[in-house]
This record gives sequence, structure tokens and C-alpha cells, in this order.
Amino acid sequence: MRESTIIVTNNPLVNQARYKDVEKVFVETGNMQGVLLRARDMIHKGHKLLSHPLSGSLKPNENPYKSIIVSKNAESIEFDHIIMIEKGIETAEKFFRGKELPKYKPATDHDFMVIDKSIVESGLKNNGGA
Amino acid sequence: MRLEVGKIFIEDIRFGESTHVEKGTLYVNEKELIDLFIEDDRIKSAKIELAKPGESIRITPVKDVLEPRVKVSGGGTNFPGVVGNKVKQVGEGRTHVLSGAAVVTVGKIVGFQEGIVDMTGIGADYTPFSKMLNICVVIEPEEGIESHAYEAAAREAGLVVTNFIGEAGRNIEPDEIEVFETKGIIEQAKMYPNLPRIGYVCMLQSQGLLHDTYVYGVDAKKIIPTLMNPTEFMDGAVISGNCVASCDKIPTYLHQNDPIIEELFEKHGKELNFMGVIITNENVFLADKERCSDGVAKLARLMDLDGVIITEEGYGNPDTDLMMNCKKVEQNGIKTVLVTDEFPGRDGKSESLADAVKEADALVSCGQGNIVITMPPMDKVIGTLEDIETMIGGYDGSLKEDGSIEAEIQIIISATSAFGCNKLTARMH
Repeated sequence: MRESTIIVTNNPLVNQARYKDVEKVFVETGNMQGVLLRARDMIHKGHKLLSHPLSGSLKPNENPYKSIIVSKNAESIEFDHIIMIEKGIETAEKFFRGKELPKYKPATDHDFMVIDKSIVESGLKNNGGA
Repeated sequence: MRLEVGKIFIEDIRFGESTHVEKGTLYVNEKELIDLFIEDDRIKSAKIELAKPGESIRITPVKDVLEPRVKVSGGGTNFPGVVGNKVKQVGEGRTHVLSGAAVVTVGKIVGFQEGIVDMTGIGADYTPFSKMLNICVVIEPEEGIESHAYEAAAREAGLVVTNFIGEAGRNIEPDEIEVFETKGIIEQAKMYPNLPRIGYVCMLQSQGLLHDTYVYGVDAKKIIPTLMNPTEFMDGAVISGNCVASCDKIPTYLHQNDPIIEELFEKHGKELNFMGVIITNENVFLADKERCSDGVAKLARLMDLDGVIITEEGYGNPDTDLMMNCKKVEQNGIKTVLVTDEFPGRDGKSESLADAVKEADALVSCGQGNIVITMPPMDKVIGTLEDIETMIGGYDGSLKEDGSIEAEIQIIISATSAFGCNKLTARMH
């Protein structure tokens, strides 16, 4: 059975979209760090991390948008998930230390939104037997 | 399975009245090629341009590179299961290759994920495709179509053009014939009982739009790990539909000419016993990662392997798949060697991968993508320089007034590809 989920996102396209059994937490932040931090807080409270925090193979300092899927239920703390999200935050910080996020043209910015949305949707589609 | 690969050496490419090979020259007819796909209502216009090694030409944004091949015998067609080709088992019989020629699909799909192939200068040193005779298919999409629709149109155009050109090699006697063969698992194990049984785990990028790979036409994110005969790759059973950071990219050409497979065959029966390939994916959901890495370890054990080589495509999320595969295979008493590239920042001082496990104690580096170089201006650009500064590896000020480009080598197609098609590496000091 499909698990009810929450998408933590700063991507307006994902926020506007409607998905069945999916809630959204919209984080108003100019880069993905705010999303990683919010997801981390939720995982510490017992939500399960369902999608990889560094999905997309785009480096954190190149990609303005991030959507992370966590379980709606907050039952037990998964230490592996805490380690994974903390590692994701560490990796993002490493990249930001070297180079800030560029200011993209509106069309490119929109492309980043589309890619992030597609990745999140490919995850949701496959979420059949978690 | 036994496959004869007959190489027809192509020494030159030219435009001609028809598409054919004559005395080592491949002639292509622009209209013939464009007519194959121009009726597609996702495509506004297209043209064919040629680029040869050493010419002052910059090709960008490059989507994919493919090698023209044709199935001469053994059943099936090159690139089975896509663009109208029947799904039929490939990897046996004889295949002819127009060796030295390549089809390059060019066009802006999204503003950041395609890359550069320079045919001369320092940039050319970083990509294997600067050494090819390139037939560039430059595609302009209809206005307003979605990126994923354009990606599919460009991918399909590349496949049909490549297969059409490959047909020109059907009745030509090859200059060289190589034979690749592996047997069933039991027979293969008995053949070289004193050599270590080695497998290859090929991780396919599969996260979503512009991050997909296709196996016999099936989107790889929907597969669970499975066994492949290495010769199936040579007949185009696996194709690229993705534009990950350019340097990481495994274009279709590299699946057709996988350097890891070639090297394993080279040592087959001498230093090792090459048992076959396990393909798996790189999905977004952690549950998929668990499921598929379990599957990889199970198949490695069922094949009774002594060791595996694991390659990945992409950075970040795939590093977790890489490490999960490594850990679980090692826990079954099977040794692993990982092949990847690195992103340790421009000073090279930060951690190179986004994930690591203690079992990952043997790793081959294909170089670091954050190195900055300056590529000189070229006389001709095939495609457009419009998006250089927003491509991965580029930045504000990357494109200079004189047309030169200062950027991280991430911007160059396959510069640090984890198939090891290049000369870059990093060593421990």
C-alpha cells in the first residue's frame, strides 16, 4: 500500500501541483539548504526519509530547488536516515563554501524547477512498495 | 553468446548525393537524414553539420553521442525496443561498426545540463569525442513544448539517424573483426577454473526527466537488477536518455563501447574469468536503493563471483547506490572495486564523494570535475553559446568576449566519466 507522504520543498511548481495522499511543506528559501534543514528537523522528530537528499545529480550550489519526500507518520527515529540527511547538509555546505549559487535567467530557473518536479514525481510514481 | 564485431574504419566524412561508405569515406546526405525525423511535430527545424578532429569547431549544447552500427546476422536490430525497432534479443551473430564516426545530437533541452565537445585545443584533450568524425544533428524544438517532450524527440532523432547511417556498413567487408564470447554461468566457470570469476555491475542513471536510461526500450528506473550478456551492450540494448552533469555523462556511444567491458574481455581467460554484467539503477527513493542493492548482491552471489567492478553515473544520490552496492556485495564475501569521478571543490581539499562506507577500500578515480580550464575561441560553433554560463561547470563571466571559455571541466562531455574512457585519474599521496 502506498504510504502517505509529505514533500518538503522550495519549488513553487511542486507546491502548486496536486498529488494524491501527499501533503506539502513549502519552505521559502533561495537555496536548497533551507529545505535540507527543515527535512532534518522532521526526521529528528520521527518522520522517515523516503527520497535521497541529494537527488538529481546536480550539485547543491548549482541547483536552486530541492524537494525531499518524508513519511507523514512520525513513529520512530531512524538513525540511518538522520545520518543520510546530515551528510547531505554537510555536502551542501561544502559546495557553498567554494562557490555561491549563480543568479539564473528566468528560463533557466524554470528549467531547474521542472527537473526537480520531474524527479520528485518519478519518486512518487515508484513509491509502491516502500 | 558470441558476437563478431566487424569494424569498418572510417577515415573521412563528407556530404554526398546519398548516405554510403566508399573507400573509407562516409558520405551523408543531409536531406535523407533530416527527412527521417523532421515530420515529428515536436521539432521545428533541423540541420546536419560535420566536425572533424583538429578543426576549430566547438559543438554545444551536446545531448548524446552515438556510434553507427548495423546487425548483419544473429537476429534483432541495433537499438532494440526503441523508435519502432522490434524488441528482439541482441548480442549474437555479427555486427558491423562504422568505426571512427559518431552521431552527435545538439540542441538546448534545458538551460544547464548539456555540455561541450571542442574539436581542438585543451578542451579537446578532455573528451573522447574530439577524436571522432562527428555528424552533428542540430535540432530546434517547436516553441512552447515541454522539456521532456523535446528530450524524447531529440533522443529518437539521434537513434533513427544513427541506425540509418549504420545501414551503410551492412554490405562492406570490415577491416578488422573482433570476437567477444561468454558462455552460460556453469560452463563459463568451468572454462577457467583457476582464474578469479569477475562480474561487472553497471549502474544506470534513472532519476527522472533528463536522468533516464533505457534497456531494450524500458525505462531503467522500472527495472530490478538483472543479468546482461556483455555483447548486448555492443548492439545498443542500453541507450542514454539523460543529461546529467556533462563530465559524468555516459552517452550511448560509451554503452556501445564500454571500456570496462572491453578491458574485461581483454583479460578474459588470461588474468580473470569474465562472467557477465549486472545492471541496476539509481533511483530517488531510499526503498528502491535498498531493494536494488539487495538484488545486486544476490545476483553476484548466485553467479558465484569472486570480485566485481562497480561503475556509477552522476554525483550525489548515485554515490549512495554505489556505496550500498559495495557494502552488500562485500558482505557476501565478494571483493569490489569502485570506479567513479570526484568533486572535491576547486582546491581539491573537500570530500570527493557524497557518501562512503568502510567496505569501499578499492576505488579507481576518473579525475575531479571541479578543475578550471580556459578553452580558446573556435572559428565555428555548431549549436549555440547562449547557455554556456548557466551550464553545469560554467558561471558568470565564463564566456569571454573573444569567445574563449573559462569553466570547470564538468562542462565537457564525458571528461571524467566513470566508465574510464579518459586519461584522468587521481592518486593518494
